[in-house]
Amino acid sequence: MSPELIKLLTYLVVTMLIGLPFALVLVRIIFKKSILTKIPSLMLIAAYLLSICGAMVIYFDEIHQIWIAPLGSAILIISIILMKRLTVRPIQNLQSKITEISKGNLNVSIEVDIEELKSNNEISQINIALSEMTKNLKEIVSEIKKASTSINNSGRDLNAGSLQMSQLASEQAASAEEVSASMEQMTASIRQNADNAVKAGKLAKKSAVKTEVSNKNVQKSTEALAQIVKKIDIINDIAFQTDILSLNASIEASKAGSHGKGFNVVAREIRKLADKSKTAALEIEKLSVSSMNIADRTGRISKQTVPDIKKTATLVLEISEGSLEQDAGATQVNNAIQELNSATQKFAAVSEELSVNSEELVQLGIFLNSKMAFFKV
Amino acid sequence: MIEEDKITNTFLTFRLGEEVFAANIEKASNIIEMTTITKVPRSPDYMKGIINLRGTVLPVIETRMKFGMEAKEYTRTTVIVVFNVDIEGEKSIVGAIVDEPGKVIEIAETDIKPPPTVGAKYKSELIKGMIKTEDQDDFIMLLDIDKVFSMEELLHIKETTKEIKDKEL
Repeated sequence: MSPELIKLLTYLVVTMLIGLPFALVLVRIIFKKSILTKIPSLMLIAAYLLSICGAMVIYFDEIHQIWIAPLGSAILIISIILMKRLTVRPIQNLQSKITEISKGNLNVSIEVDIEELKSNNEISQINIALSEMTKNLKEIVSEIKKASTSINNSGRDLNAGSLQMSQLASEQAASAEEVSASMEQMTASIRQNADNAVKAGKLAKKSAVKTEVSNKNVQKSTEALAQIVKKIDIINDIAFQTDILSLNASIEASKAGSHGKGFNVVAREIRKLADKSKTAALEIEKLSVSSMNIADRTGRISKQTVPDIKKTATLVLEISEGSLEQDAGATQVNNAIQELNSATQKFAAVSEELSVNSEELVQLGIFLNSKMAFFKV
Repeated sequence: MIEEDKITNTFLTFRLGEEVFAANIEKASNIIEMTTITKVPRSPDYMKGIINLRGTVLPVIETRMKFGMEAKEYTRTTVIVVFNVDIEGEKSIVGAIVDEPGKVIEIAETDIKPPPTVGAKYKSELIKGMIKTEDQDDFIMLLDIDKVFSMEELLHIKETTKEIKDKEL
């Protein structure tokens, strides 16, 4: 063995025992647990092996040198393949998973190898985080799906409710309008009542006055009739006296025989006239007495009528006052109904708005649902 | 003066109660209205009293009482009929109170019926006859005035009137 060979071997041993581990430790320190540690480590090993190959070129003869070039190439190729296996594969694997997630597939199984867990590099940590993330996303998405479904349902319910509410409000408004119209009619009739009552009261007062006047007139006519009856007595007396006078004349004429005949006729005529006036006086008396009785009765009745009419006037006045109060009450009721009406209209408007909003809510729920459908849980 | 037996068929009627009487017109002097009658003391009940008739004392008889009727209050129609009567051939005047004067009627002799002899209300010698006229349903009783105011009754009258005449003188 030549001293050069010994020197070479010593160099190899030294570099293999001290230089390579030291370099690897240095790389480890620099890259720590990163996956990139593998690349320089492999490169160091490859460089070391290539340097051995180079040393061999010097110490071996040309025959052996033929083997060195393919050996070196093989070392390089192997090291590149290893590098790819150790670094690019896990990254590609990760990329495909992330692509799936980005497509919305949350069912991707992210299994973390025990080795990877042990290595505790970036890829494994990303894998763990990704797994955690998909798990959380899954939960959130399903929660959101549930929530959006319930939003949808609630929106539908709300919509139906608000539609019903709106309809009811419309009905209420219509009813209030009807009541209002009826009230207005009622108010009109109450007012007419009041007017009529006032008129009736005035008429009753007038009638009372007129009845009093007619009462007085009846009294006067009764008095006049009584006087007529007294005057008839005079006529009766005159008729009676005429009667006696004519009888006496007749007696005298009869005694005068044929001379008294003409006179007798005159006396009889006078007697007839006296009889006629007696009959007439009697008739007048009868009529006067019956008129007096009628007037007396009429007077009594109209005397009774006056307080009745006065009472009627008072009652009518009370009716009139009552009607006025009724009118005021009806007006108040009408105002209240108007307020109710406007409130109902506002209510209808609000419920309509609510209906629109709830419709939007339903749409929102549907939208949310459709968006959530993107995720496959 | 009036002839005694001159028969005329003219009568004066008058009413007493419900009944109508008639007297010959020759016996009637005249009719006067009821007036104040002066009572005469100690005279019979039917003698109502006396009145002054144009200066003559006229005794007045309550005829209702004389005919046995109830006395009645005087009315507007009550009158005194003055009759000429014969008392023992002496002519005198008597006032008879009647309820109502009637009229002067002429009756045919044939219309005068004899009075009923049985069941008559009044003494038959007082009634000369019964008259039935067309316009009257009931009979008119024709009175004998001289007999109605007969002697014994009118004796009193004569006396009383004489007394009064004496007093006045």
